[in-house]
Amino acid sequence: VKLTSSEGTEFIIDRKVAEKSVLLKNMLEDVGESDMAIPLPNVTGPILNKVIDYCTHHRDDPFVSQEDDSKKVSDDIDDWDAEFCKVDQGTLFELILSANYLDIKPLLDLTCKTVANMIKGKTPDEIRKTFNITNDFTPEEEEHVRKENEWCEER
Amino acid sequence: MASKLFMGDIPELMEKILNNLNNEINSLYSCALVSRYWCIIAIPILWQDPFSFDENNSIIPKYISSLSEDTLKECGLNEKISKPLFDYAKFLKVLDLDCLERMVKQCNFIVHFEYSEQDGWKKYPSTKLIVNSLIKLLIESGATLHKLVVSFHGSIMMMPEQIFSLLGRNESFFSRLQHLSLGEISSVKIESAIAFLRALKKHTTKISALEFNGYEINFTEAEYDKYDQLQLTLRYFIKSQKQLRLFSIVIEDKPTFIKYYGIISALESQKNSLQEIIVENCDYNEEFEVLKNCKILETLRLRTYCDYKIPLKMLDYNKITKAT
Repeated sequence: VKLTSSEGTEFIIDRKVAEKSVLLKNMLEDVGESDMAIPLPNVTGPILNKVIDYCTHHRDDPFVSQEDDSKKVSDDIDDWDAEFCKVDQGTLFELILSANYLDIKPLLDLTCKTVANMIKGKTPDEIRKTFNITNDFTPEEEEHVRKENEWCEER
Repeated sequence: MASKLFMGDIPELMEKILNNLNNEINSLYSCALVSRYWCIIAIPILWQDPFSFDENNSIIPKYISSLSEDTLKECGLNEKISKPLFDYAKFLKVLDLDCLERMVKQCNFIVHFEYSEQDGWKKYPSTKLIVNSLIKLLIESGATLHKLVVSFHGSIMMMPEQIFSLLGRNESFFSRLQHLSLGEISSVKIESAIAFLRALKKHTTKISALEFNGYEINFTEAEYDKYDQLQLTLRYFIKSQKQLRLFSIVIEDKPTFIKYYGIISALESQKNSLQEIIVENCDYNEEFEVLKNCKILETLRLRTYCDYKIPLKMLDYNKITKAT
């Protein structure tokens, strides 16, 4: 299967690897065998490379259905996946967006869990600093939210 | 600049990230205080299951503050209450009715008495009216429950079966229920339990986990029919569900092992979906043989009075990966 990233770089991968993406799987089923490259205008070359790495490593994993949303703890990430996610924040966020666009549920779950782990145990200010977020609450609003959720502090 | 993930462009992804923190109340609370957008995403997750985490009953006043002025008056609540920032009731996914009633009872309301010719002197605010109003609020705000814990012990004031009369057009309250936990059913509340189970099976068929804590067994011969009826209702309830994955009967605080005729054999109807069965403190009998037919059973935990070889034999029939 041929894929083209947003800058026009071509990637050739096994059909089985491509089918980890529900978007590509459906496209391939609709189009059938073809030499035409599938354009992926929302995914850059370096990110597509990472996504292909992930799908190649997990090519033999069983399919996880959308409904199977059993509560999983956010620290059940295996070593290969943890190593895979050791990238800069920009790359991690691009991976989330690409996994969402390409519809690769296990990659989306993994990257979202990784971001959740970066949030875990931090104060609001630490979270803002980590992700470069501006606090747009007025002091009154912030106090109001704090007051209505004070039961979280009592724990 | 912050990623567009955190700026409001794709709320479903932000929600997916924060959903991983659903057991991390402190982290979610921090998220709610990061910015307005983070607050909007974090609050609904924070309020899915507040009863499990609130130790000081401080969530009850937040729900009460969403009640209409007329309802507040009706319940006898005269305190001045300001409206909350969010409609917290609609976010609820896990409801423990017993816990709700207990928390309302423990709230420090200013008590007063009112006299009417019909009822004489009555104490206000009325716990029963507040509990009913809160349940009505949850239903009308559009909450969709995933887990319900309901007890039928002697001291509970509310009648869980009355919830169904409050539903009106709000069918979604029970329609996505996946987990039902039934507390012990006392002999004085058997009829209430029967009515509740009969009504519930009309509103949901998607329960995947059913926990049952047994019922009081000290009944007279005259009451025998009632128990028979309860057994039958439980059996029909099990059969009415389409995809039961976990079934558990764990009888606590009972000196002797108890027989639950017919309930285990009703599990035959769930043989294609049952993955985990837990049975503690029940007598082993021939009924258990039906469990041999459960095709995808992964865990079987039995604490019964029987020859240990019998359950072991069952392992030959099933490809059980874990037996405890």
